[in-house]
Amino acid sequence: MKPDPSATNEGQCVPPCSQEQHDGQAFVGTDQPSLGTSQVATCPPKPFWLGAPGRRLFATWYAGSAAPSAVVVICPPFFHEQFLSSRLFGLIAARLAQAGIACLRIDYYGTGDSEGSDAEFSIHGASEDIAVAVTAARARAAGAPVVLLGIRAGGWPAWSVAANDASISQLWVWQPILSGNEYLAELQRLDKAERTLRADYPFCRQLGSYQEDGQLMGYACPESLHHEIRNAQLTSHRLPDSTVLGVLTDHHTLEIPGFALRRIELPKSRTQWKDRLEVRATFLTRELHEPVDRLIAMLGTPRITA
Amino acid sequence: MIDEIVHIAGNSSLFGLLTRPDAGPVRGPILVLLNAGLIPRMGPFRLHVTLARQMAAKGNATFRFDLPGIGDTMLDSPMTSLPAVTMALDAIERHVGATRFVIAGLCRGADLAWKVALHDPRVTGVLQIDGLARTGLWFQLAQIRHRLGWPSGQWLTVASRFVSRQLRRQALSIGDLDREWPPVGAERAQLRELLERRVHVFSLFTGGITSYFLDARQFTATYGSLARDPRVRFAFWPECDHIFFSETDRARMIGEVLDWYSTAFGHAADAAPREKTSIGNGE
Repeated sequence: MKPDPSATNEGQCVPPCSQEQHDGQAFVGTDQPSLGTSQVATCPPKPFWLGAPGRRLFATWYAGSAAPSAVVVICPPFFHEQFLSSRLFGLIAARLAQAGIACLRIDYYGTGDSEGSDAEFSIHGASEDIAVAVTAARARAAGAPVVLLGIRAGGWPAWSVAANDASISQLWVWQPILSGNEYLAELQRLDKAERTLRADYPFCRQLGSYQEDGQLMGYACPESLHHEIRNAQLTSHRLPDSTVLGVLTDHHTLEIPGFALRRIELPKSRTQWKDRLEVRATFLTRELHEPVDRLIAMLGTPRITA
Repeated sequence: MIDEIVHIAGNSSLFGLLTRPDAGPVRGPILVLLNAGLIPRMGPFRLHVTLARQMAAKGNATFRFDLPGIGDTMLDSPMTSLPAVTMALDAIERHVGATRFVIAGLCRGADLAWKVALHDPRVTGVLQIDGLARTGLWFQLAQIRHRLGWPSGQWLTVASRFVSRQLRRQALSIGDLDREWPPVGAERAQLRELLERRVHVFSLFTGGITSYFLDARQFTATYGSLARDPRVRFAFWPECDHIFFSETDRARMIGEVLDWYSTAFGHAADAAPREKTSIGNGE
């Protein structure tokens, strides 16, 4: 699978958002389950391909018309959490872009719309993909400080990249997972629950276990990835002294032992989206505006209009 | 294979990905995948991505995109789904010159696929997974038959699961109330209209929609004798769940779609897409 090579446009300038769109902005970044509302998005995502042939990544760029005050590379979570949270973080990216902070979202190799099969996804590969995205983000937002936002297990490769790149000004982790072992246990519990749920349907074939089919939450999880997850630790690398660390999570896990950090508390009701296969649970509701706007403030921009 | 970004409307977030063979002409109409409910265009467990790539390996092109309010598509304008699909078909037509399309959807996507087929004469095929079916006699009989077979303890188990599901508000449960279906009986006239246009229809039902489909005979009871038309293909996979959680089920579904495509459109003298007139570079 190879995306059209000529379709790559890393570093290309982004057409400015029209003034009409800005003026029409009333509820940017708010999500609603119904279609056909009068919501207007100010900075539509600009899709493009990123990376080398053979490892093309699907990426989307969010930016306003002015030079951004910072650029955030959004590092998505893994497995089912990727598609569950895709819209939420797209809307958050749009909200940040409206406030003058550019965002780059990517699908890791073997996930989403990027090249590769599920079985080819790895945490090591995700780190490489984030590094590629950081380079692209710098090219698109020359001079702006680069920030990484790692979501859930996406915090692991984000941390790894930040640890090796002192020019990353801030690393934020959204509902971080400190231990790979804990994450595996959580995944296996959810996976078992999903498989068991089929018993509610009288004709559905009962599925075996992960040990039998190598699937976790509907995705391939080969032994190599299983091993990577089992050994993953969020804080396995020392961060450069200049890198600001921040965490967005519920009040239970606002500490990362051994690290001084900035904290933004998320409403508990908005942290449970990962626990069930329900896309509706990840809407960007008004409850999330306040923490997202606090993040915007901490990223160094005072401009937010919604 | 080539993945191309195709913009549907200028300076908006409406765009999609066209996956097509990198050499030779595209055979048959373009398969357009609609969102399965609120799941982004990649589909549940990347189903749409895998399907698109396997379609391309067989020489077919597939387009997937997010409807307004879903996935990457912001609500740039108060646009509803049907005009958004029409715009998508227009964009693909401009991009590769294709003039024939097969619309596919799961659940509410199936309902929309049906509507698009009725609305747009460029549509030559509809794939609806867990689409419209009326309950009726066969459903009621299947319910009774099934429940009579329950051991006494299962009544209690199912009742507790039902209550639990209601409390957890399981989003993946399916109910007629969640669907946009035409008035009872209208589907027969609609199917007739499609068949008169020589549209191919593939209706696949899974075992995950027990709230309205339990017996294969419901299909004929719903659509009448036209359900047996050679252009209509029907399958009931009761052992498979609604969102294809199992990779085995996804592989089976993709194989079935490829077979249907080959049978229905394999020998059609469809105009191959012209040379690219623009590059889907995303900007």
